[in-house]
Amino acid sequence: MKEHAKKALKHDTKVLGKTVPTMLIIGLFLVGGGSAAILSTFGTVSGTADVSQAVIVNGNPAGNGDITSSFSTDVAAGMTHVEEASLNNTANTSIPVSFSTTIEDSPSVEDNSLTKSDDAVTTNYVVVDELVSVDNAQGIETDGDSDIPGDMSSELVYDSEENEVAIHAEGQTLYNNTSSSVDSASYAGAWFDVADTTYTGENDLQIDYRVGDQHRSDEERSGTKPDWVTYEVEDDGVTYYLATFTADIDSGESFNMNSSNVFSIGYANGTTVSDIDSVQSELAESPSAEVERVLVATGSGADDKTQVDMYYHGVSLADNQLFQKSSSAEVSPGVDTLGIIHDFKVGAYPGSYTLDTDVNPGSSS
Amino acid sequence: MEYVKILAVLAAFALMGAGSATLLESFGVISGTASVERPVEISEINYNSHIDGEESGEYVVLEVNRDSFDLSEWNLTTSDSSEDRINASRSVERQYVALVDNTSTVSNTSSELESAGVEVVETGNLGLTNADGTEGSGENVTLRYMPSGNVMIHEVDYSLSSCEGTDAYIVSSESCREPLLEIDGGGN
Repeated sequence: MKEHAKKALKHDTKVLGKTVPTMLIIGLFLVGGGSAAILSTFGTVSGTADVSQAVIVNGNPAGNGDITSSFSTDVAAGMTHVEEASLNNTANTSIPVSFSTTIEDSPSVEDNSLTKSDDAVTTNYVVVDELVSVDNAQGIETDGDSDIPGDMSSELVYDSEENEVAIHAEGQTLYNNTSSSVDSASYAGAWFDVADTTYTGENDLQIDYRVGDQHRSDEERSGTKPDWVTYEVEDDGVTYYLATFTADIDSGESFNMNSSNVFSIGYANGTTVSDIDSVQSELAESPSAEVERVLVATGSGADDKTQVDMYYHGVSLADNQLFQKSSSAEVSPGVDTLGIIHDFKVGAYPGSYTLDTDVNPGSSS
Repeated sequence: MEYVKILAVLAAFALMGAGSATLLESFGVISGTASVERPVEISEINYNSHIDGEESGEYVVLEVNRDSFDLSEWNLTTSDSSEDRINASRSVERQYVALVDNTSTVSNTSSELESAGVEVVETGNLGLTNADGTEGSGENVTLRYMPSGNVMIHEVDYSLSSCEGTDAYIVSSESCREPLLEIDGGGN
């Protein structure tokens, strides 16, 4: 029997027309049997990850090339249009993004001497951590008139000549009643809140102002004073920067923001200071004193309303940079503001242009 | 065997597709439409055949669509001459500016234009063509912006035949219409 078995093992077996040693076949069976006895895993942890989009554009998590928001604008060639969008980084770490703009549609140009298509518009981008917010110091009550809204609007503006982005805030915010005594007048004013990360003190704050409804046409008076002095006031963890200035408007009327008559800071402890020296003394003595109001008036006498334009120049600060076309940025956690700056060349052929700006994950190569 | 190879290639593509489909290509698209108009355009061409009395003077009205307009940055030429017809350096405040031929002997045109809200700039001989074909042979006016390399912004061809005998003003090539501005001294 043993001899018979030995013979059988030495014998070759035919498999698919090929001669294969019987020992080899048995060996393969043994290997297979051995491996089946070894655990391939100690266990499986199964789960579902509900992944949200890392960066949400304008609150719309459309993604994948879908249009998240749209705009329409009328612009003269040679001007810029700045479109703002919010970038909400929902992660807890910075996310690299890149931008690119394509001209999807443009007017047909028959004359080759005219600027057309890709040459007609260039696009830059800026990502700003936080815009300067501007608001009224307090609600404004007028005598007989409806109250003046206590807010201002702010936007990014772009100066193509200086290649500079500025924050422009405007609004009819200031009110000075018709009291003959400026000391008893109810001043209201604008304050502007600049994030510490944004403001370095090296940038210009420019305020253009027009006083009174009656001056807004041909008799409009305006003034610009670039060399502003700023003062810091802390209030509830927020730093407010108070602009003070002296300027002569076209009519020759002087507005001295550095006097005791045109602004005041009211503290919660009842102290009111209304001149710069006192403000500085108060800050030195009680740097953390709670501020109730910051009032700045730019009008006087019979002027009842003041239109104010504020320009905060030099946004290219810290992490805020101006990005050239198709460049990338790091979006910090939270909500940042993206400024898409479409700069239309002066020779751009008139007509309708459709511009699509993609916000893409990752850095551009 | 060939069939197996084809299947393997297709399977590989399917696997690649499944992988890329899980990655966003874009966080979103901000799309917009910008309706672009010329910064400054030729609004009216008023040459001698269309005004009451040639001595009233001829003029070209420009419509300004931008915040600031400095004449020194622009030039206006006619087809028969490359000479700059503006020959003035100043900022324009209003939406409409008329370049008035300062060679006219009796000019109530300027005051009429000003009363219509048009800013008047007297300039050199515009050299626009008369009905009889004299006073320059140009039938073409070109507006250029010089700081950007003498870029052509607007060109208007005007033809005697298209408006002859009418009071219309030339506003574009082969097109006549009533004047944009109601100016008594004009052909209206």
